[in-house]
Amino acid sequence: MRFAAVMGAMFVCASMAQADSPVVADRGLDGFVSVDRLPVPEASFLQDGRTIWADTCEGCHGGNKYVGAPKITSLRAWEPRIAQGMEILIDHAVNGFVGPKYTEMPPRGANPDLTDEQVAAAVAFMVWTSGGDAVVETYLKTLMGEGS
Amino acid sequence: MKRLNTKLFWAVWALLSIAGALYAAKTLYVTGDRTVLLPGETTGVHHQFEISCHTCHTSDDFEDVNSVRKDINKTCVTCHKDELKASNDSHPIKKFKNPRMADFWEKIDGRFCTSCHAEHSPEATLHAGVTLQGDFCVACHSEGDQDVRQNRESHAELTFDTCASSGCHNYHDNRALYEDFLVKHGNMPWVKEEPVHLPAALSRTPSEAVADIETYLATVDTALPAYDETIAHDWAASAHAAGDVGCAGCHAPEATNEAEIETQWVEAPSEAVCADCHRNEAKTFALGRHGMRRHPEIADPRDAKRSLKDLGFSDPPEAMVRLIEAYLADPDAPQAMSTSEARVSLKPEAHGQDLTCSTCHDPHAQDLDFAAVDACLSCHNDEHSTSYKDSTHFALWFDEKDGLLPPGSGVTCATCHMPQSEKGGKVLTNHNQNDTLRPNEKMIRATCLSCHSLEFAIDALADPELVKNNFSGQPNRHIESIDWALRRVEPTDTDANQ
Amino acid sequence: MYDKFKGLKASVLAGALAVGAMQPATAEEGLDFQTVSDLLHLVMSSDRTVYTRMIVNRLAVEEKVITASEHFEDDKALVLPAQMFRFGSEMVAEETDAFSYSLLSLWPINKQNAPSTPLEIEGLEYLAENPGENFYGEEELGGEKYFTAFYPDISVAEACSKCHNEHKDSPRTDFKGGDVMGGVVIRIPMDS
Repeated sequence: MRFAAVMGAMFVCASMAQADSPVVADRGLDGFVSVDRLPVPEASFLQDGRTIWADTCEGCHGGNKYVGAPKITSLRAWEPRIAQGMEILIDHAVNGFVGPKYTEMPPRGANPDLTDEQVAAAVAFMVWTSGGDAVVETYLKTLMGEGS
Repeated sequence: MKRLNTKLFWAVWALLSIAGALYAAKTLYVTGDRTVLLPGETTGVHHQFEISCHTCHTSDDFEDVNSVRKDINKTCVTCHKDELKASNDSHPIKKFKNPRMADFWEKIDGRFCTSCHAEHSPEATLHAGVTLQGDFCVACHSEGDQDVRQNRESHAELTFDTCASSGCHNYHDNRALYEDFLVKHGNMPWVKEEPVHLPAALSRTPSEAVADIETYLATVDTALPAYDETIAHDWAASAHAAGDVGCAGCHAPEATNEAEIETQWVEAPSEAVCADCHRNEAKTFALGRHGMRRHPEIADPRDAKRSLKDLGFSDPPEAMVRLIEAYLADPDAPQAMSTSEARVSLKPEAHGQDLTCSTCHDPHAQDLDFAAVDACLSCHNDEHSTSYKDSTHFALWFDEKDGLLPPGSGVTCATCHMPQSEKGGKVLTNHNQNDTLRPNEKMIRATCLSCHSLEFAIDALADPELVKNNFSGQPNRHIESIDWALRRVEPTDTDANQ
Repeated sequence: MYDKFKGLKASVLAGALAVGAMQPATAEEGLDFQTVSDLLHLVMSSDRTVYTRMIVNRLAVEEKVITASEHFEDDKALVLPAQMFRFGSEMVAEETDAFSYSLLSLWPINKQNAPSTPLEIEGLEYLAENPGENFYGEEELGGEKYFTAFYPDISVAEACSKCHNEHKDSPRTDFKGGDVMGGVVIRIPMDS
């Protein structure tokens, strides 16, 4: 699995520059953001992430105001989080996390069937779509570096 | 002549009728003995304050029927709210007040106690003061989403007359019967390895005895208005002595020096003196059948002047008030319950006694063994009571007294009917002897589970013959509720991989 | 959709909420039923969210010093957020008839929380089919007319979906975080 993810990442990086510009806004897109309103990245690793995101993450991160999860496409919500670095974001997503205001990120988005790589792909997609495309690019290069 | 006679009779008849009506109206609306107006015997312990009508009938005169119903139902909760709260009531009034329950109000109106517990109708009153037929659950649990025969495979073939009569469910108190509790306490041996009631064990562990009563008494100042050798000995061995409560503590509680003790000495202190220290006991005593007459919510006799004011006589003449008070006042309610008024089987020689603290507790000698068994058996004469001394429970207590078993092993009348509990290191004894009856499943958590499995306790309490012979032997019936509950959680082949 | 409120009650209710940002409601104007209901719901859902996050998530998920359980007394545990909400609604029922609220679902673990009126079925179905939206209607119950509002009840923590998916009495076992699990139903009598 890990090998596949890394291969995917390598593949992606080549075409990264031509990727669609993610749709972002200060507080995110208006209304609930379902996956069909989000751009399709060219990188297959991120494409996988998009599928996983739609299945497991959208319910909360699509902008569900009751749950307190940072909304996808919201620069304001994601900027400080992205600043912590991919490693921490992925760790929180894989192992679970209770935020400073006691909102809960359940381990693997409460979907125990997901592998670490799948969670990482979903996180990468969410970051890529929320103003962190440059960070994701670096992250994918690191993955590729590990793989080589 | 004949005409005159007829006229006279008519006049006399009219006068008598008016006088009679006035007297009845006066009794109803001002003061006077209302016993004759009772529409039918009251339920259970209510007979003890039956002459204080306005304990329950609090509405103003001439109120409409809906307000009267609301007012009456408020008074039920006034006395029974603590009990209902403690029971974790499965059908609390507040659940039925929501308008979404309107359809159910048509069936059984759960907003009012009187929907199921009508008063003054002894011929229709069943167990626990219920005045509905035994299959009342059918009203709300037999249709649509609520149909229990659909929701529970095990219930598909059941009829509704068995829900509340088989030891499976109660309308209010299901603390020992709810499904997860059944599962948690399933599959256990009928008697535990160390069958001991812990709070009882705590209270029965002998405290440090006074080594030598004579020496001890010599150190105590005994210059008292009344001194009796036997009483002094009894007292010296009691908890009162250990707690530094001397003679004056009860006989002259307000006195601060010897002269005052002399002048304020009361030969027979009232119960109020006991209650001053033994608050929990006094409070719970007033909730049970033995002490109900002291219940704080029982209405005082009506005040003639106030009744007249309520009727619109804002300033009734003093002479009229005094006349009413002298000849037509509400009778005073008796202060204590008497064995003569009891509605259960009592020994003939027990009749005519008032029930007070000292009926069971000698004020000087601390004899909790007497209070826990022989006090009860000196009056109660039903089969359950008279069988007690032939029961295993009694044998255990006998052995505990002999030192053969650890403290808390024996089961006295009080162990089950006045269960003890521990709070902050102190043992409290529930003096409401009825608290764990009605229904008897209330006893399961308070007492039975200390020594027995839930399964055994449910079976035993649901077997009337076994209750009668005071639990000598094993239950003759088995209630399947635990089996059904366990079957629903036991993994089957189909979900073993989940 | 709803009548303009003419009496005092709605404005009194809104006043009791003391929401600082709101325009002060005068008795003459009054607030319409929907506004009152929305404000009530805002208080309810905020309090419940605070309980879920600052009590249950903090102590049971983060610090792991206590659990939350349906049988909180026997298990010496925290009450579940849904129970906390229900106890609040029962306390309100004891205090007033001016409004009532409940937590219902098309997939209730306890059948008494299944819809019991035609409007409840309609409202709950609307919430399930239109995530993020509310539903408002009127109905007559027990001879009285009510304004009834429905707000989605969402799975906000892993424990919500997990417990509902695993409970032996749950009719639905595929809840995910953020899913509509049921609805908060608020009723205000229109004529009294």
